[in-house]
Amino acid sequence: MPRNPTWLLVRDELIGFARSRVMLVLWIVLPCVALAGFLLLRGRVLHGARADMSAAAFMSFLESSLASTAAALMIAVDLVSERNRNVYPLLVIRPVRREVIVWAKFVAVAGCVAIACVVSISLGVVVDVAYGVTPTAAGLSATGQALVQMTALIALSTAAGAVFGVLTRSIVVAVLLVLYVGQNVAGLVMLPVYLGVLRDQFWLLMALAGALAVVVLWLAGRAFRRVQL
Amino acid sequence: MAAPLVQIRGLTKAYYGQPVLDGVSFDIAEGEVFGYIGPNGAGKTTTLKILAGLITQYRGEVRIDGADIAADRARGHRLIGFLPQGVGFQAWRTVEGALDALGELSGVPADARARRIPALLERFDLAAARRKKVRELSGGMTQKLGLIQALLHEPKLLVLDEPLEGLDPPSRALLKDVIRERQRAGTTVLFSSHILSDVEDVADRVGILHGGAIATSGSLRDLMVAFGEPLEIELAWSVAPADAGFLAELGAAREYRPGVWRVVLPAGADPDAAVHTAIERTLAAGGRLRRIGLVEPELDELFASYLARSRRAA
Repeated sequence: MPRNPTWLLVRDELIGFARSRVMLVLWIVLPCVALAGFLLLRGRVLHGARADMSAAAFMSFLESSLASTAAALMIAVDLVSERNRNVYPLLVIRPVRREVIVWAKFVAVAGCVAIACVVSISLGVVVDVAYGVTPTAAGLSATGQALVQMTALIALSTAAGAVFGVLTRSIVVAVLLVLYVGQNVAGLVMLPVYLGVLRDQFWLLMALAGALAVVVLWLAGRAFRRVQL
Repeated sequence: MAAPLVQIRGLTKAYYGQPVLDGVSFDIAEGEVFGYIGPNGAGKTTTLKILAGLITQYRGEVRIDGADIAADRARGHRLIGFLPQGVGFQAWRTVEGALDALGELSGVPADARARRIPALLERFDLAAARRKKVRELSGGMTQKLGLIQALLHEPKLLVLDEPLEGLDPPSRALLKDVIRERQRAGTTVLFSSHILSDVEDVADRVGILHGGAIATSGSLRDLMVAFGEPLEIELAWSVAPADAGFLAELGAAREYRPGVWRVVLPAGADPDAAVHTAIERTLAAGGRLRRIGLVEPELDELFASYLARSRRAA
């Protein structure tokens, strides 16, 4: 019996992204570079202001600055280039809801990048153990929170990237919008912390970020419904 | 004429305030092959995209099998196989993988896909490329892959936008064979092309889009009558008669090629009588005929003639 088209699209996009060259970099090269960076800087880091920075913390610091931007750029560029290469007509003429095409891409990009982050940070934990640093409950909790925050930022950035990818037909414009507008949207999540409100409300903040990502993604889907292919 | 499968009424579409389609109306009967022609920028692709549901902002009514596609898009999607102009695929997919994924999205069961995909790849001479990435294909091969995906779910209505674009002569002949086969199987085909001789080869009816509207539609003979084109006979001699002056009595005669003459008959003349007279007079004057008959109008000529008339009228 034929399967649900939504699931088929999500599955296909996940496979496509997981095997893409960009993801190959995020899966393998990025953790390796991060690890090499940690090993090179280890002595200095240990004797500097952040003498307590573990490999896991170093990895999550590096990933948090790169992952959400990478995810937003990936989805925006992919949407624009596939539209320009006339890929979508073959999907839209089939019994598939248009917005599902964008949602599937979102799940694939955000999911793959989030998994890449988990891989990197897990590698950091393994390195810490190898260096004799016993993982503490507090340390693991902090790492877990960093992962959740990173995932929320990735989701929000990816959703914003999807909006820009749908709205523009130029890769350059999409990249500029992601870099100069998308990152500010993602920064909104941290705004309450900077303003001194919700300082101790981590989970509430993450729930708000998740809700905002859903709203932005819904807008991207609505915009794609109106695109005249 | 069988019940129309496609009904288009008053289709109107403008881009940035510039009208492209201005009240286009026509029907396509079930099982018919309809050739859609017109000058560049006439709105052929826009019409086909509206029919396929890619363009959703338009005025007018488009019905497929009785259902308004604006109200019931899913029904249209189940019935249509569509080849867009400049078809594209996700570049990371293999040829086989792309077809399998699109077939699955169309609801083709796995066992049917397993049968149809290799057979169609073989038919279109792409079997050797089945494991290649789509990005490695040439333009012609990508076009053939586009045709296969349109045929894969055996749609009731096949909509092809410039399907012969980029195909070599054997592939063009093959596509024409496939269109005829699909027609015999009951499929209705709507296709646009600027290669008018190909349209002529397979289309039961032709619609000419000009000035944002269907200028005329019908069989080639209908179009000839509609355009007021005069009838013409052609005769080729193996031995020329001593005196060919009798041709001028039949109509306006000219030597078309060495040894081949064409005579444009006056309005109302009986073409059969003219052919009979030409045979008799040739033989009487000591000549011998190799070939004689009515000249079938060529679509290119009709179309050129139509455009010239339109310009003069404007």
